Amino acid sequence: MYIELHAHSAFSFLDGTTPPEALAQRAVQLGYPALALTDHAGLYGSMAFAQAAKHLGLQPITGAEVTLLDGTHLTLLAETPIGYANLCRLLTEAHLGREDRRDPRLPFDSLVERQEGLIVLSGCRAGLLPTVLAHDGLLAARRLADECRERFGRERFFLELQRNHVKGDRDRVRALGEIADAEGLAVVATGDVHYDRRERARLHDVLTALRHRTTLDGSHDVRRANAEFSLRPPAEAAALFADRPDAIAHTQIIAERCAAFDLTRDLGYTFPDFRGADRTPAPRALAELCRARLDERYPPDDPLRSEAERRLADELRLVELHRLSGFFLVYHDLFDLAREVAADVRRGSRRTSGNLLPGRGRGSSVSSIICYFLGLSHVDPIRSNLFIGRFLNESLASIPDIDLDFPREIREELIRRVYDRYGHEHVGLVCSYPTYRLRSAVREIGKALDLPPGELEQIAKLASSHHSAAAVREEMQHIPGLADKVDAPLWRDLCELAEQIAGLPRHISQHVGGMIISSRPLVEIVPLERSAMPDRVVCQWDKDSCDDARFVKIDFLALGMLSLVEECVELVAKREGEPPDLSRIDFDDQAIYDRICAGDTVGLFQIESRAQIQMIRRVRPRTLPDLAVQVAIVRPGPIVGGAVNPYVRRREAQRRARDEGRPYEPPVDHPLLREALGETLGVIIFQDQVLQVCQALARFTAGQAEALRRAMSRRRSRELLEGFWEEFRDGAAKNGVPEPTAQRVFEQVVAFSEFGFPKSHAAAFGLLAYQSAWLFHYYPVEYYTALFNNQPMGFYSLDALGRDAVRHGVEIRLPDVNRSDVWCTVEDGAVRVGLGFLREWNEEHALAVVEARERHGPYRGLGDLVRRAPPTLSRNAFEHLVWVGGCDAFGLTRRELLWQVGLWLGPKEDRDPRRARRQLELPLNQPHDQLRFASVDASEKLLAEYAVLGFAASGHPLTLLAGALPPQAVRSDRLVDREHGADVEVVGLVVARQRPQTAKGFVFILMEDEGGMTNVIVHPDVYERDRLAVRGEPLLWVKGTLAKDDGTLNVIAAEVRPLAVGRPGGWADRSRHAPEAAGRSTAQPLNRPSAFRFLRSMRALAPGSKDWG
Amino acid sequence: MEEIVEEWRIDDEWWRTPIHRRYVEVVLAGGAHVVLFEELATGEWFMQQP
Repeated sequence: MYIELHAHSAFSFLDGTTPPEALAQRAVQLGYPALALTDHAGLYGSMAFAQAAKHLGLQPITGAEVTLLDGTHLTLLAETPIGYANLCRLLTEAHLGREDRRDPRLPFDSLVERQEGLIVLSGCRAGLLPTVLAHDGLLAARRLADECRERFGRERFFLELQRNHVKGDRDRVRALGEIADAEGLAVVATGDVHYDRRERARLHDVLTALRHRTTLDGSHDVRRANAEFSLRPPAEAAALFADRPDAIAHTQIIAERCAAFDLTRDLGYTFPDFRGADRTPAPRALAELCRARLDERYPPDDPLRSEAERRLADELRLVELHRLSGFFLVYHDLFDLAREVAADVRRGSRRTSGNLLPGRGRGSSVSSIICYFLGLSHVDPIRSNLFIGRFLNESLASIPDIDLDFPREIREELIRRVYDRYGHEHVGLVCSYPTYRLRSAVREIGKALDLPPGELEQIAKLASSHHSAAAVREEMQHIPGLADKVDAPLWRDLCELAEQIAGLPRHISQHVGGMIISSRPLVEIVPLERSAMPDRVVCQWDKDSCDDARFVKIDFLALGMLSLVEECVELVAKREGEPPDLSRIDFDDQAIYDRICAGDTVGLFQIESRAQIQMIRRVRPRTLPDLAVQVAIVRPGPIVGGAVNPYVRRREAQRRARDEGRPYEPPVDHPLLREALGETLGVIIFQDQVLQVCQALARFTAGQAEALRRAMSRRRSRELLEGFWEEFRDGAAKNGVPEPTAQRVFEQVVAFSEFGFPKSHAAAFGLLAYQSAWLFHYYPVEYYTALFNNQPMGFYSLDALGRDAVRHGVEIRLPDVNRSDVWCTVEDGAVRVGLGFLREWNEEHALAVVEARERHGPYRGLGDLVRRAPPTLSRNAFEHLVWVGGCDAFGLTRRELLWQVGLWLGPKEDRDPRRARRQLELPLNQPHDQLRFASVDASEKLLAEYAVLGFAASGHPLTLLAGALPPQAVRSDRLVDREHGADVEVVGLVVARQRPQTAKGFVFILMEDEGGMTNVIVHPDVYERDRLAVRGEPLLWVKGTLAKDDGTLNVIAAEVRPLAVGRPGGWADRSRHAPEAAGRSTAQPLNRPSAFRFLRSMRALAPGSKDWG
Repeated sequence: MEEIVEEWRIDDEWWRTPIHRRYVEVVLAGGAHVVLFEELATGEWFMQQP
């Protein structure tokens, strides 16, 4: 029977079209008993393929197609575990041995040296032998075949024959057959498969065009001639080689030989065996470490002591059962290393005495008491009532994940030290595969199809909020100019192809923080290659494949908020002499909760988004456990599961009952759920509650619960979770639970195929949210300074954050050449923006200017600055500084200063910013530097700030338009005075636009005016009509109805338009209307033409909104 | 026709006017080489011009 031994998946980037799992599925459908995956220069998809194949009863054969130094190809198959190790080493050498990491190639001699356990096929049309045959003739090819037989042996080297109905196949196959017969070598038939089905040949053509960065028309020479490179039915493939039955027979013989190696079983990865210095067995070493901490955390008189002891005993038993003691000791070792790194990074700083942790745990590991004792978690699992089953249980089938968050600078150094500590051969970073999204797919495929860029961009923007071609086509029908294209040739192809390519991997990239450590050299277990970041090497598997391989994967993540906290604590220590100890603050400070419940949370961790603020006003958290719920509830899992509204209603009922002095019993779908869900008022908020519910209601065993847990964390988890319904229903029936109840509860369970937080994670994040709120409340200036310095992070732009600071009484002072540092600093109770924030200033420039000032005193004038500043600082950079008032202290107007810049620096040089200015040696004055010019006005200042800094510190642009705005437009802070249901108009600068998948087509816009933020909700019908404004305009006018509900305030939009001045509903005749009644000041009105010009400039310069969905 | 020398297939230009053809190079009695192709959509045969 014919077995396919040469097949490419989508992990032959921009060449293969089919995910490895789909390839396996297709092979099974066609009746193949085995299939080899041979992607280009890598094993990226091999583990996923092997897992899928095993599951389907297909024998997976692991291999790769390599490129030799001369550009020709060979196909390699792993026959034995040694062969696999050799394959990994060879692929690593191909990648790491090259200057250009995008063109991996292997020396032929290296292959000869490491051939043991490998089967070598002579390759496709671009293969070694066919190429020599085509260029140098039959004799040369025979000589080469002879050499290959000598060096590899008859048993290992096969001549590959391919018949894909390409011109030249017949002669070539005949010649290769003759060579094989003459040299005593065997032949084997292969298909050079690049897609699972013929219909995907079009996509393959497009990928070829993309790979060569050209259009389809321009790729004629590099495209395949026909659509004959699909996986054929075995009988059809065999019929093609009826004249060479030996070529078919050898496919089976090779497949049988390769059955000796199974990637899912024979990987040979061994757990790092790190024991104590005295070689104490790992389980005892771990137990001793934990017991040493037990007294410290739960003293003998602590009421939770006995529970802590029981929990520790239980966890140690599970750890020993799964032989994970070494795993925890490795983590303990790493955290000690992290402590060293943190001490080094913080050395000499004031925050050293602030008892700051080097890093913090997140995720389900935070529920473990072992992690708590080892320092990997900072949340007491007993006091916080955290469920261990999500992290550790009897039937654990994969290594548990322990994720650690660090401040950015600690993380960078820690990764370097891990390489040093464990050795470069034993450490590698996990990779990830950025995939095509519909939007990028539309753009790129559109270019390949040579479609007009303008219209293409319109469709690309639509595609960003859809996940299917059908939805995009549907939307196109409603847009003038695009409706007629829906079924037109090329445009129809565009949508279809974009959907096919969406989700396919584009290339390899580094995962955010995952590292692998192994005791055997990692390079024998998975190929390594260079990442885009210098000095970093990644393995070719992503986190799912590493999980399948049971690697110990360490996740070191950089969390911007931790960097902010570090800096804020340092700034506070600078002012007060002592840093605050965040582990010992009052966690019941009601002033903090008052602020949070008022929705005053911009800039805080996890609870600042528009959706969070809306929810906070309804949920009103008052304790740390409440904050954990708050953090977890605004996630797709609880939202899709329908948990939100019941929870909010029951919170309210609970509050009323408490006020009336009576107990409150939350309703649950069934009494069996009371224990699991009582704490969250009868609904599933946390991911681990899913497991508890299945165990309590449906008698899920630990094994079933573990399978469920795994399903929740995988790709395509919804399909996997739905597969549990029958077991759930049957188990529930045994408990006497009626099927409709079981159905209702199961729907909530399946909803957690969407993203949801384990309780431990929510608790850890809730704690950090509180600490950020505490710092913000008591040290707002230091907080805003650190917030500015640690962007990008969070939900808001610098522009919105700056105005939030002003609303809280914190002044933001623009960069000043004689006062600013490189980054933002605290100055007399205000935030002074650093020079590094200016466009065309980098950190080096800013540092040099600051150091020169510290060494030789403040700058005395522009000439003095020009002389002392670094020569690489461009003329534009000086102008930017002047424009935002950075040189105002020199006593001249900004126009006069700009004039002087021109005098000192001469005409603008060519656009190459790397050309240095001419350095001025002598402190001579310039003639004409005494000329005088008028100052810039308020609108010019504001526009300059946006242009140069990306944010404005002088105020809100609407302040300057006050007299020209629609007279009925109400200021955001006056909306509260209007009645529920009132018709209102609002205007503002868009801060964020969201179209969450869970929101059924509704769009949420957050706008800001002089008074604050307004939430606008856009119904799908209104969105359809006013789409362009809703999606793209930076300044909007909205007419709608005010909805006041349970502490929240929203405008339900009836119309959304770009903000205009001087149009109907626009220009205000102040003698007849009273803008003051709408809450607006007319202190600095621009006249009508100026207002129009200003608005036009603002549209171009407005900072981009944060858009999601 | 004395012999079929070569047979191949072309699938191209699906984004414009699709081309699906089966080509055959034959040797005629007398030794002349001729390339014929069949339009797979219609079943019609053509002789390729040199």
